[in-house]
Amino acid sequence: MGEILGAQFWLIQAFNGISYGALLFLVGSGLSLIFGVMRIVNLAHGSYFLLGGYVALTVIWTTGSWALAIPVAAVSIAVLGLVMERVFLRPLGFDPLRQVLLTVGFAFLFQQAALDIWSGNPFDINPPAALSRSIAVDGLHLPVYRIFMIVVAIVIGLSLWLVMEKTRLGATIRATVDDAEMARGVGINTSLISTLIFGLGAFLAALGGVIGGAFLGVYPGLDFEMLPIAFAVVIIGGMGSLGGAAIGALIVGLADNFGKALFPEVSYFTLYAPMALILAVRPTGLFGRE
Amino acid sequence: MTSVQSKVVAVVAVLAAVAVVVPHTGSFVILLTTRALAFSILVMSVDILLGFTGLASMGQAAYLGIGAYLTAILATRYHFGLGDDFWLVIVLAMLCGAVLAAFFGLFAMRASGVYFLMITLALGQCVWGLAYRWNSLTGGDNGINLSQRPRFFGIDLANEVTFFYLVFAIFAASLLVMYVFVRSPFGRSLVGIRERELRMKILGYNTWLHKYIAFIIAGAFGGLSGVLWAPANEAVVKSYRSKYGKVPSYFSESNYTTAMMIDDVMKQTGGKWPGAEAFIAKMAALHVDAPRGPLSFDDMRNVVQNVYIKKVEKTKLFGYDKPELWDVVIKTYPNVSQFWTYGKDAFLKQPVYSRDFPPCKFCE
Amino acid sequence: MSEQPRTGGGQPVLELRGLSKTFGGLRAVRGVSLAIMPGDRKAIIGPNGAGKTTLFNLISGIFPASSGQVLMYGRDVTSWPSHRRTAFGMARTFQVTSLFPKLTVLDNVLLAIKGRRTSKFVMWRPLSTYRDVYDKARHLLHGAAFLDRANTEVRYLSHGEQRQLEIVVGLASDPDILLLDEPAAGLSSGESAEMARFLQKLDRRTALLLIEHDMDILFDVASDIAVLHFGEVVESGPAERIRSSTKVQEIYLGTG
Repeated sequence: MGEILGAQFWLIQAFNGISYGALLFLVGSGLSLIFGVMRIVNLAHGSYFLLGGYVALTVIWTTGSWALAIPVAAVSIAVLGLVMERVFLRPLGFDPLRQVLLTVGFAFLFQQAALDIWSGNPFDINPPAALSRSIAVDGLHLPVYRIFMIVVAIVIGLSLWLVMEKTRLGATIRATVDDAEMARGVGINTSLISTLIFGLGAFLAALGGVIGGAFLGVYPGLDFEMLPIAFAVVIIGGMGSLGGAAIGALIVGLADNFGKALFPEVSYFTLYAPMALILAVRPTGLFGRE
Repeated sequence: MTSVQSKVVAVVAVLAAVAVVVPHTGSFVILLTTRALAFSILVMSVDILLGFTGLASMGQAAYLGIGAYLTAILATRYHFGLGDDFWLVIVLAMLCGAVLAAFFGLFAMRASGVYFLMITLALGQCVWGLAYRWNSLTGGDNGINLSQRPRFFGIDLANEVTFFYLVFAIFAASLLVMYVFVRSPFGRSLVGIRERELRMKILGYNTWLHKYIAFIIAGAFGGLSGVLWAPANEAVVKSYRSKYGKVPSYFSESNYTTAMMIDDVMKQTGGKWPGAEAFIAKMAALHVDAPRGPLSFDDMRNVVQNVYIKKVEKTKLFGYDKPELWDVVIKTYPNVSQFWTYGKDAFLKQPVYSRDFPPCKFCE
Repeated sequence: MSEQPRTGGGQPVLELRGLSKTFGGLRAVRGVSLAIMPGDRKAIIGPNGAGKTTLFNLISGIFPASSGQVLMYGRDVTSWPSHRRTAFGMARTFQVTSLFPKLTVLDNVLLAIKGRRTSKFVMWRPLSTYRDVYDKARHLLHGAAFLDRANTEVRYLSHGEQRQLEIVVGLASDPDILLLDEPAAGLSSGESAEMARFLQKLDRRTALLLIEHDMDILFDVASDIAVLHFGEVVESGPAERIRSSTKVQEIYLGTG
């Protein structure tokens, strides 16, 4: 290709990969928790991501505030997730095929609704000027926004870890992931936990959508592009494991970036092929528990 | 048993009605029904896996994709399958579908339940990803334009009604084959496996093998559906004409192609302007499947494309039902560069705009 | 696919040598050795949790053994998958009825018969054209007095009828040895007596190994009994001797 593959190239790609991984951690951790706690295959997860971006756009257009858009979008989509779980998924019980069909149905519905409400034009979410600069580190120009993404992912990751490991709520959640029946046996309200986790997953996905909106854009089709990548993160990292989601997100982010840079023609393949291989060897993912 | 018999009668009646009524409707309905019939073959193959064997595979569309892309690539790049050899394309597509399923099955069958679901999803995405990104082979998200349908044993499939009948016939044959299949000993074993796999093992069935074979058969039918589905898509000409009311001209084609090329380059860079030099370099490296045919650039950035010798004829083309005046291609010279058959060096040695080169054979 | 076992030759149709199974820290089956000759009728008894069903799972290939061997006609089948053992002459019924509930009685038997034939891979001919298979199925059902209900879905049969059909399905694969896991499970005393009569009428050439708690069936059907306790065979011998053994009584009363 004639491009110099020097140290600069590798560093920039690695940085890009890590920041993309940060975004994927937000999307993937939610999905991982949902699957870990409820064994639900949620194919509407990509839609949560996209809708988060769209809602944020509306908030920005009406109020002009990007900072406000973040919580509003994340919370509203979380509510959407809660309703979906309570009203539609709960009655199905544990039936993977029906869950898949229901969530896919919703994904198509959301897709069409988004087209109707926000039109088919692609948009960008413009962050405040402070975050749109680049800073120079060692001769490399690093966009501040990408650093922001990494920071957000770390903060969220740490908060989740703290809650999971150090609080009673976290212990309750971990118990439910481990053995839902036993958890009920000791008096844990697993149905409440399930709903909570689903809402949290949607919250994280929507948060990813808002933050990713400046970086990937917000456009029809993003939902179904993001979905398999989120699944790749969860599968590679293991279902139900937060640490696994972090590692999975990092691996996918780096693989995707390097794949696109070095082998653009097979870039999706370099992502999905390892996913299929890992599943074949360890069906629960690298760090998953069953 | 009579409920089964009445179902059979109902299905046959509906199919007969479709076969009789649809050809008298407009081209939109005919093409839609044709696509639906082709797609139905894929759906039936999914039913064999999911309905009869209980295997929820989320990646079956990949086999339609394989069949469709195989048909398109063979037709546009290798000019294969446009005549009597169309049946060979059908056989090849089914074979490809089966082989791919045999390969994927080895991975997928290691899992069960939800994990089977996800691994088949991942495998399907692999195929999608390749189709979407392997620009030089599949045309990326521009796709491949199939502007012709085959002339199959003297039958011109460019006519929608004729093509409809062909697809209908293959659909009916597939339906019959699968009807016998699900009633055969093997088909019944799949139902047993769905109901109680452990019991079946104890009864002496190698359930892994039965599931694997079912997976391969579904892949073969998926490939078949792809072959029939690809040519049922409308040509670029048709959609342009219906939108703008006139046939695309030389200028509209060049503008369309130019826009396509800019789009391709910008996709490679993820939408960010790469700088003038990089842009030119990327554009020069493109291989595009334009409506005029395949297009690329030589090292002097002149176009390398097909040259068509045409004749004006009053005929029916592109599925229109009235004969009109069209340029009909009577010979194609593929991938002609600016140097034609003269080597680059020989050509460049000659003076520019010389009356003496190439030499005139028929002057006095 | 259908391997023909060597009949006769004085070999036991089924032999277990030091068969053991450990699950993590639990030793479920410990060094069980047993031999069954063609035509034998043996039973395994023991309190709940003694490892009887686990033993059956080892013999039929559902669990891999931790150590020891399973032999059929002198052939080591310990590593064979279940379907291969069936092809070699083994059949088994389950304690919890394992029929196909939504299929008819006839369909259940047809599937069972086909399990031992290579024609189970045929895809181009409807099953209904196999006259010989249908004849055999009807013959089996007639022998068990089920022919009148051939077209009833299994889920509509009574529990007792299902237990009997479970055995008919086991017989459909023409086994040399049939493993019966608590055939009388959940039966009333009347149904039990009927089950005992049913088992006594079975072909004498088929060896039976059964797990059972029901005394009627046990002493009507089995000529030899082995007693399993905490995974080990603690006593075995002719039925009458076991019946009067004080050790066995202690085991069952919990003082052993």
